[in-house]
Amino acid sequence: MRSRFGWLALWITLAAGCRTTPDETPSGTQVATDSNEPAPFPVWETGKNRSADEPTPESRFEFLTRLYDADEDGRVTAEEYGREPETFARMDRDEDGVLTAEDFAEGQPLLSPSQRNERRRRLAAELFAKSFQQDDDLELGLEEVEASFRDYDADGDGAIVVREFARHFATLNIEPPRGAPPGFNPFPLFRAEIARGDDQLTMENVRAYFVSQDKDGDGRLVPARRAEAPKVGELAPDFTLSPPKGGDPVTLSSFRGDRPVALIFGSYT
Amino acid sequence: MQFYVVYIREAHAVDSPAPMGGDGAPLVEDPRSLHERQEVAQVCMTRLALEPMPALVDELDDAVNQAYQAWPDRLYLIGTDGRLVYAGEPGPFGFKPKQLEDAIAAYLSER
Repeated sequence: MRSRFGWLALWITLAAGCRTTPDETPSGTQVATDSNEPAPFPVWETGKNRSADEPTPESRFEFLTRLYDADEDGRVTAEEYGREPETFARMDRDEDGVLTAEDFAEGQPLLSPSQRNERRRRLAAELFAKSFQQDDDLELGLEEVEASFRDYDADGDGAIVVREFARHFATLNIEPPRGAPPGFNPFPLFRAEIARGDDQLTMENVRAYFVSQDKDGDGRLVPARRAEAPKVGELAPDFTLSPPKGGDPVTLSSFRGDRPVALIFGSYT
Repeated sequence: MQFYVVYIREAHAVDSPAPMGGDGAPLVEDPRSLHERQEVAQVCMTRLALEPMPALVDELDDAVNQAYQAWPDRLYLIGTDGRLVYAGEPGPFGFKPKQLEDAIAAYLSER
């Protein structure tokens, strides 16, 4: 799997005409430190960028046990983990209070039971968003959402499973993410739930969500607008940020009247 | 012509809602501080041999990421008047370096 910048790296390499091989990539990138500095934040390679002397965890669970399993019993307790309880809970898929290999096993449902409730809320929100897209005015009543629900509920059993969402997505003329390949499935991450058929959204869930969102209790929702990205011709939002190694901050607008700027946003994963 | 990589929130950190890693992809947790973010950014720049370009690190409030709706990745070109000349679609599907390259070539040849 290519990392997020992988294609860009290739492009840069070719554009710069200075092809590098992984062997030539500088090693020891865990930022050299003297003893006074905090330990480097671990970033471990599993692919071709890995150097010979580097730890070689091949899975997310192995990575986490190397960081947090202080007593080396192959399990990570909440105390050992020591970071945010929500993050621990998200990873503890079977909700047994300890991170084990099973939590990260292939085919393990992506969500724990309590997270599944949260996901139902999100499915409901998705349903509302789709209802809104098909609506002419800027408000949404419960009856419109219920109509959308029946649209989605292909087999009419009163429950929408993720599979029905995905199928409906394809027929609705609602645009998938721009540039998505044909047949793009917006819910690939929920295959385990789909296979088990247990991730359902019922009309009751939908009504409950509606009530929870209808803060002023007037029976109408005004869905929040998604923030929009700046468009061609608009002034680029200004910012001042610093380089990773420290040093002088850079202000975007300082290039105005001087030279054009290309911004390449991304992360390592 | 000035290039900047802007390092933003990790897309598929080990402890994120959409985790990846292993099988060839790097393993990293979502940075919790600006210092951690700077470290991951530096590893990223070095390992992917992006260092011919300078990098900037978005702060933990994700303000610049928000302003540009940049997550998980995105490309922009800004003209000398400070206005956007090219605005790519959000990644991964909309992340198209060739489009940026063409936009840069067209912009520079017009001047």
